[in-house]
Amino acid sequence: MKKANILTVSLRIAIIAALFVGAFYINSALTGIAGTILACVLIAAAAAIVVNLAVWGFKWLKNERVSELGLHIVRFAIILSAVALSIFVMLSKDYTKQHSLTNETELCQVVLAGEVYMQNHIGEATTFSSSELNSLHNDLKGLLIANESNAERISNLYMFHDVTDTAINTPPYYPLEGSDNILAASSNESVSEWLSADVINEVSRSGEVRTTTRTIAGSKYLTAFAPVYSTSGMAVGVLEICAPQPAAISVFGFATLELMLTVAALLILFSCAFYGVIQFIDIALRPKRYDPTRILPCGRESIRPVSFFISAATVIQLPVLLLSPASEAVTAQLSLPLGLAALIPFIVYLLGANLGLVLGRFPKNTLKVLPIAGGLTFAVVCMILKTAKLSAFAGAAAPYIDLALILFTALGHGVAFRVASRYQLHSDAQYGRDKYAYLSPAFGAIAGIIFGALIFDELSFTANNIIFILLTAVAAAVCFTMLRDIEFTADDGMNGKNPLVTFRGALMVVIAVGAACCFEWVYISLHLAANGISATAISCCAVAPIAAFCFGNRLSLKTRNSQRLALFISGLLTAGAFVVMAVSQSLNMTVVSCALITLSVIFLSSAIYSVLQPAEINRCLRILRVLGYIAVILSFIMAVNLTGSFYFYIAAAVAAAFALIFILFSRFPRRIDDIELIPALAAHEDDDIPVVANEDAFILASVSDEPETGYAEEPVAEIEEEPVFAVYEDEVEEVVIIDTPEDTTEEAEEEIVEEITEEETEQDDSSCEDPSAEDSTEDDTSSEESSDESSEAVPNEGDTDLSEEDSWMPMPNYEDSAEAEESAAQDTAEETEQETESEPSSDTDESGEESVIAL
Amino acid sequence: MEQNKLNYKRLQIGPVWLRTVIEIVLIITAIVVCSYLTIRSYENTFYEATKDSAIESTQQLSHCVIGAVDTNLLDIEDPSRMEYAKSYYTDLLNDSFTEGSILNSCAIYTVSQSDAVLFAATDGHSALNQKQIADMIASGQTGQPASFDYDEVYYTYTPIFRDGETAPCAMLVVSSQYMNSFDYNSVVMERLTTIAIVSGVMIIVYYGISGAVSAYKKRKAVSVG
Repeated sequence: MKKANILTVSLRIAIIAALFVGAFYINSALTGIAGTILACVLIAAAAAIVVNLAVWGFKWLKNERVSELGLHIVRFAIILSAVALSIFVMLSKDYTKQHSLTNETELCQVVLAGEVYMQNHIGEATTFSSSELNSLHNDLKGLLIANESNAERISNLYMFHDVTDTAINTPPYYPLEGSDNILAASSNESVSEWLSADVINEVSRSGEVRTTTRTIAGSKYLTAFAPVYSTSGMAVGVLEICAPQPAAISVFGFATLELMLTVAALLILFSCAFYGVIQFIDIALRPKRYDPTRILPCGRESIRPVSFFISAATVIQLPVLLLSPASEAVTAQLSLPLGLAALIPFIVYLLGANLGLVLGRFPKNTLKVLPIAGGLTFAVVCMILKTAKLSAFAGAAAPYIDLALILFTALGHGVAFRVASRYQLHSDAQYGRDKYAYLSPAFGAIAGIIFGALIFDELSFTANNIIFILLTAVAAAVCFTMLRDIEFTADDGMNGKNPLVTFRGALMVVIAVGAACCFEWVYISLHLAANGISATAISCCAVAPIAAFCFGNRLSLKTRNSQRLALFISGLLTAGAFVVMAVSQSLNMTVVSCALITLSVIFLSSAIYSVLQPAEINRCLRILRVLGYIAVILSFIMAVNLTGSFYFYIAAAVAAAFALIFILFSRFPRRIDDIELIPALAAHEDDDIPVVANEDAFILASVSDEPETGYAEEPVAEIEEEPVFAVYEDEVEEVVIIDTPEDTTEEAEEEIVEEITEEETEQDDSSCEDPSAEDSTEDDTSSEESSDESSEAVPNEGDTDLSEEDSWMPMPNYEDSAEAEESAAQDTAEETEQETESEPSSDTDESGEESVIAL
Repeated sequence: MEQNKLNYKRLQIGPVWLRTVIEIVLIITAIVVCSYLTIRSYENTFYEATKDSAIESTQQLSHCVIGAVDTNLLDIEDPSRMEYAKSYYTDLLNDSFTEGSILNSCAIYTVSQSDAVLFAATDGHSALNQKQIADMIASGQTGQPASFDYDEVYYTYTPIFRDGETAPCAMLVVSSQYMNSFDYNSVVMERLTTIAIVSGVMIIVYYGISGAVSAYKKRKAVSVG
């Protein structure tokens, strides 16, 4: 299987979108069998490409060695999609039918009342002069008042000749075809299709209101008509009112956009929730007791459900911050603009969360569950106080107490998240980095955003808070249960000394996406909300960039040109997203803008993870974090005036275009392995010094006195072959380089291997795995290949252990044997060099960055 | 630093069948909840659509009917003629609204400073309560039509003026009920059956494929071994 190619995938997605849009417009524009057939052909072609893409997706998943659990999630999503689609079509059909019936009833009522209206204008007249008929036509045009329901309705009046001056057959009255005694006029003067004379005569005779469907100007209309009499009881004509008829199955009709977004959001929610719950169950089913005879009582994946639940509990309440009573109160007290006041709870929350993250760093050299449990408990207490509305008794200070409680809640979340991150760091340092760990907070954030929006839509303010409290409480319970195992292993393995390396989890996901998506998250979300779209539907747009980011960074771009092209396209799409909004701020254009931003994020994440080294990514993300905060705040302020935002869009588009030009003319970042490491690193590498590192290490590691050189001449593959992972404390003298072990546990479909290896495991349960075998499996392709070679050639205990259950680590798998051999040779050389020079290898996976909060 | 690295070993999880059962329960739960939420979403969308439609409907109907009200007939003092006028307007309003309709109703109230008296109404019209009358009088004082929402029924009050007067002599009341449009319960069992069948088939297919893949891999591994 070839490597995933973002460009071809994007091309296919674009073709699918074009085919569907084309089918939609053809179905709307062309009537009859030809239009239907053409639309079906286009949809069939789109479906074929979708199937092709799905097949490719499964192969890609397999090639990427996504775990068994990952495949379960994919299948789970497919099942839910199938069920949701069937429900969607079924309900669309039902509701469309009901909508038609309601329309018909309403139309009959309108035409009946319209009859009274016309009768009132006709009075007792029995004959009409030319001027009277023109006046009557004006009355006809005034029959339907200007509102949304009437926007596409048409009223027609058919007058009998015997009450009119027969000489009148000029516009706006036209002689009816097939009849010599009826004149027709319409409120829409472009209408030229009329009822047949037979129908008019029959209605006039029966005196009843009737309905039928007919085609006007290529569109299907439901029409209702009633006879019109003068007040003296003389039949004057027939009044007809036409309304557009909903499609048979309103997949493209009746409020479909919002419903589709809602269903998509629900699918994403349940798939992510499935991930979190199964992770939790997976770990919960393991033996609970700490068993010193075993190497580890618990796997490093213990942190995953913790990250998931903390992330979800943190994010889930963000939608309700909009409802904070403090906003209005502060607005009134300080005379602030409403939009700015709405921003205050978010700013307070961000401050609290960041403060919590800082506090969570201490104490540095110990790992305890207590801060997590304490932080979350503190958050729960604050939320209970907030829900209980104790602040309501505090008079003028109430809003400030409310804000204080938001601050403390965020502080608790921040502390919990930071400490959980440190657990992850510790676990990574000891057992090899869990390269998919970032998925947990990412999925938690996705699930939290959608679930928060869902209950925001469905429940009351108090019920919302109760659910938030429960979720935070669950997160606390999960943390306390799960992290005890890791705490044991931390003490047992490192004598209380924790070689923490930088955790690059949710922060990377949220921050890198945040700069590109803050516009969407804030500005477009408010725009959609202003259009009456439900929060659940909006949340689908909001989480799309997160999912796009997770997807994009799994795609690799090998050549420099493709990397530059991806960055270029990313900038282009971002600029396009703003231009689209500048052109038209309609609902559809807003969704198109969201789609463009999401695509942009795929390209961006694919590019930066192919171009940059981890240290550079971290530095980039740290800058983006600040920019993201600023951009979110700016978007909020701009959003105060949604309608006057044309210049904002233009300015944003120009800024994106500048970024695009910058990409074209800028040099690519230098390679991390070109940089000379700080001597202190090497000097301490063999010391048995406890290591506590932070993300600053990455910055320092990338800074050197060496002149900056581009690496245009060097292939990217080489960059990935010798990853360097240098970490050290804030104080340079304690810097030690950690060789994070490689993880060969990502045997994706290892059930059988488990069986084979279980026997070996039982024979020597306490034996250790071969670290070198682990080390050989770097994230990059060549390292994985060499790892695979070594592990296959020399089976050992470590391999067998690692292959048992962990289904999230990558499993070497390549088809190009020549490349594999070459990589194996390179890897062997690397290992030799490492042994000789004691040079640390490192984990350079992309999943890094310390996670803040999915803010 | 490799000496700092601990060997990583995952422990066995619990029985596979237990996890499988949990998965099935999760899937079914997800399907049920997802179905419920999707239906709720549809109902909410439909509700909002009919609600918006009801507001506009009452305004449109008021616009059509108000021209038919002759203010001179409201001032008749002779009881028998008054009864005749009332009867006339009752018939007119009944003719103007769909027979047997529970969606719409219409009434004419004569108003004074702080009181309102029913003059004529369609058969389905419910007499206004005190709050509604207060709202009606208040809106009449503005001289503009106004719409109010009372328990899923929209009322539009339109003032009727005598020539040259600024205070309304009567109010036209048109109501539209917006939540009785769809009784989904009548078809819900049929729909649930369909959903259950689709879900069941998908789950069987899901675990069938999973089992087949596992069996294939086992066979392949044994042959390789």
